[in-house]
Amino acid sequence: MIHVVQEWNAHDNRDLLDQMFRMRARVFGTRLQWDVACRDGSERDDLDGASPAYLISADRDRHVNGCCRLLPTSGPTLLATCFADTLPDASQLSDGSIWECTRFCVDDGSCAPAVGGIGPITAALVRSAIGLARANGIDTILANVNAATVRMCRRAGYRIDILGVTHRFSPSVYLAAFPVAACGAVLDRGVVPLAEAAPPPGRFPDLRGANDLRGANDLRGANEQPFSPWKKVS
Amino acid sequence: MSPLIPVETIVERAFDVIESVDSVENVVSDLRTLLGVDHVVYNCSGSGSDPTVRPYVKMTYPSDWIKRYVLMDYANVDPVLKRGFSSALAFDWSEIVVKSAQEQAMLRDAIGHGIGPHGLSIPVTSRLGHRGLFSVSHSGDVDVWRRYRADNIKGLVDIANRIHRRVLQQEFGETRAHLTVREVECLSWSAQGKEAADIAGILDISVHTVRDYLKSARFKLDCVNVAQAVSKAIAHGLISV
Repeated sequence: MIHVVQEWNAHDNRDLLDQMFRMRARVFGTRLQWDVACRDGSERDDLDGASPAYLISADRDRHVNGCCRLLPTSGPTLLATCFADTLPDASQLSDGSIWECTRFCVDDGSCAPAVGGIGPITAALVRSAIGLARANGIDTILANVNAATVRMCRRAGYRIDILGVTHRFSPSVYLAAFPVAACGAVLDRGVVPLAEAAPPPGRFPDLRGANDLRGANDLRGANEQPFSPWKKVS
Repeated sequence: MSPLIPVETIVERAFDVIESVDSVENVVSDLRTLLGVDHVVYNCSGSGSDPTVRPYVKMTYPSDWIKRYVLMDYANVDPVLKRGFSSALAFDWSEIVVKSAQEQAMLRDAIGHGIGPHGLSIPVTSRLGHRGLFSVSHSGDVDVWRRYRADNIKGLVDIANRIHRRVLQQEFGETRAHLTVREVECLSWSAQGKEAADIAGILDISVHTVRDYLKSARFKLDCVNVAQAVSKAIAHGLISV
């Protein structure tokens, strides 16, 4: 089940939030070694104080297994603070109907890939984000994703526009835009479960046919040293 | 709740009102007529987050309700205000969970004064995290209201953000954001008469994305439409033709 947690109902969902921050520390801090601030086993940044809307996936016993964070680009965003150099144009998009989705992660306790993890939890989170956006007058969701996620979502029928790519990180980071109206149509006609839309293992994602930027198909830099864009929060 | 004027036209007229009408008080009053709702309320505050600290409120509510609201110190009770300043997403007043007898009494009092019972509140923010809340209310049939909300939510979100921006610039000295290269490019091509589809072809990006860039540019320049954004950008020397 997906829970929508905001400041107003944070008090009643303290257990979900605590688990979410701990999961983020495990996934982004420990496993992916991003430059994120983890304290007492929890990962938080400044934007967690900017009253975001969290989508938190949990099982029946309220054990958290996935999450993401939604913020309007009219307000402070991770894109504008951390991607201003690498994606100078798209990172400065600013409008109340364009939202960013960050800290997307799934951890179901198995050895499954953690970010852009393929499976029913990811599928449910994506569906919820699109559905929530549609109900709230949001036109576009922006998300930084890896190539595997782009491919997976496209296979599931979602339209994704690639607004930018940077090879400074490994794997390369794509800024993907989900046009909500077009993606919402996928919900209406019933989605191919993302689990079945997973790319065969070990193959490079095929980004042809995307209206991507020149160079977006160029997966150079995949072997470069990992470099994390996420600033350390003091 | 006139269904006769297309939503896009209403939004464009609303932007024009927000941009050109002399005071925010008159803006909310004009918006009420334009949007065909019973009431329009805009809340913001000097604190940027707590609506009761140096409150900035413009509304179309009748004066007896405003007096009552102040007298009863409802700003510290009002569940709409509380929820609005601790949310990112828009909410219908029917979603409000009443948590105390005080809140219950206040809502009953409001309905008694002809406020609501239907309403939609849209939280807004700024790059500096300065928060605000834009609400519209309606007293008619619930089905009419639901239909209105579904048809107009996108436009209302845009209008809410626009009015917030005007207040922040006018009252709290927030400045405009800079245009990016892509936004300037899209405006420049628009200045040369290109449609979004043409620009998408030229820049090799999707039409939806071109619209996002133009929308963002319009928002940053406080413009009603692309044509106005183009002329403003030329006047400010941001693009040349």
